[in-house]
Amino acid sequence: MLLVVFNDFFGKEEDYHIFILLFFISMMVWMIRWLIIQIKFILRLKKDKTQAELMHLKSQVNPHFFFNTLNNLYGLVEKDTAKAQELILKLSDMMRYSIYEGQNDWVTLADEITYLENYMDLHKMRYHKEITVRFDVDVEDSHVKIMPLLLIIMVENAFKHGVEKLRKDAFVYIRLKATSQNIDFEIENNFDTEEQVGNQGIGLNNLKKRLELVYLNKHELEISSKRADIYTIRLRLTL
Amino acid sequence: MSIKYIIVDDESVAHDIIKKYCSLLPNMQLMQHCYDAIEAIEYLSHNEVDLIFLDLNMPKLKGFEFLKTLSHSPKVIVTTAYKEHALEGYELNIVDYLLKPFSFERFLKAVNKVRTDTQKVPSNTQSTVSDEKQGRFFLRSENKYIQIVMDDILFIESSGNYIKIVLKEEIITTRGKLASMMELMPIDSFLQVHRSFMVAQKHIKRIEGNQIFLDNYTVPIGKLFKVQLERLLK
Repeated sequence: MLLVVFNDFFGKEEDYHIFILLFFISMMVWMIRWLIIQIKFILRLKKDKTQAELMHLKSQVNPHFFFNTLNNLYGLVEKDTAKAQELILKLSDMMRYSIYEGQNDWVTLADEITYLENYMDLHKMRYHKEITVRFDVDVEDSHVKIMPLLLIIMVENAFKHGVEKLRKDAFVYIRLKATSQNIDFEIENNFDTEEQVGNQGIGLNNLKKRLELVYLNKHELEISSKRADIYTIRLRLTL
Repeated sequence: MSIKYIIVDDESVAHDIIKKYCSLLPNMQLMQHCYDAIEAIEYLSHNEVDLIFLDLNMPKLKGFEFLKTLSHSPKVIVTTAYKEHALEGYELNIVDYLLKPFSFERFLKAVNKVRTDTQKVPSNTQSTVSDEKQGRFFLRSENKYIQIVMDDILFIESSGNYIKIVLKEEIITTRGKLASMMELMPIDSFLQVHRSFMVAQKHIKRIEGNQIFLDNYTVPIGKLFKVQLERLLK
């Protein structure tokens, strides 16, 4: 039937072949367009998902750390009011930072450093045992931007798996070097070799995911161990 | 009988808090500060205690793993910032689970549980019932904490936000509701006879009309409670 109509319209068979060709080409074009729209749609979905994932990965203040700190403050209030007041300020700075600044895409390195310092100061007061914490900062320009709450993951790790698990002689050494082009962060801590490695990976996986999402091809993460009981992690970022 | 206790916690301020709370109570005797479970095991291998205040997250040996190593475990009150381990704790027969930071009132409730429990335990030979009635507990009245022997209670009266505990020798007033007192009392020896009165069954002298006579006091019987009382008399 169709053939009859075509033949009537074009008259010759060769013309009809051209028509078929044209028909398929336009079909193809239409399909490719359709495909592109679909792919765009999927990509947009994926981007939204990444954004959501990123928000989720930017962890808030660890609840156990928070409650333990509150307990310490509760006990300290009576004994040393001035010290307690000082620590309450540090804790509220931390809370404010993680709640508000943590939602931003970028923060200044200076703010992030203050956050790390507050975290460590609050940690130092907790334990009965002596712990050694060193934080060497060598920053050319403290206004360079960094993804918020990134470095804290490594610091938390060091305290969680090192300091908390050791009965004595625990140490954490941190070295931070930054220029306007790059940030070099290294953290070294000792740990108990007999301690079973449980969910040690969670924080680190979180870190890796976030680096992939924000510093794609602009980061280097290096984990090493210069002694059986020492764990070193080094992160270099290109800004 | 004093309660001998140790504190097992790696945070020194946590020790200070517990020690201070205990110092407000009579008959609490601190035996040892332990800053991790290893120290506690060492101490317990040579000494006996009645009660352990135990933190969960500690170096080397976690609180619960430590508990599992004890063959004859004393009473345990867990003190921790971790909400999520409570269930496991009760499986290990702990007395109470305190979430840091905790108030003195909450702490007192936990310690009172230990007291009523320890009083029950030694009563394995003779009269279990009378020993159980020997129970004691602490009550806050104004700024003091008063130890009350359950046996001495004649009756308890509530009025508004306060309750009056009438003992043979004295009357103690404290904030609270009758319902919360009822939880503390052994059910079989105390009887609610009125919306705001609860009497000690053993101290009843006589019942006349709508009144109960105890020692030199009279207590009214509520309409709703009369039936219960009659059932008792049969």
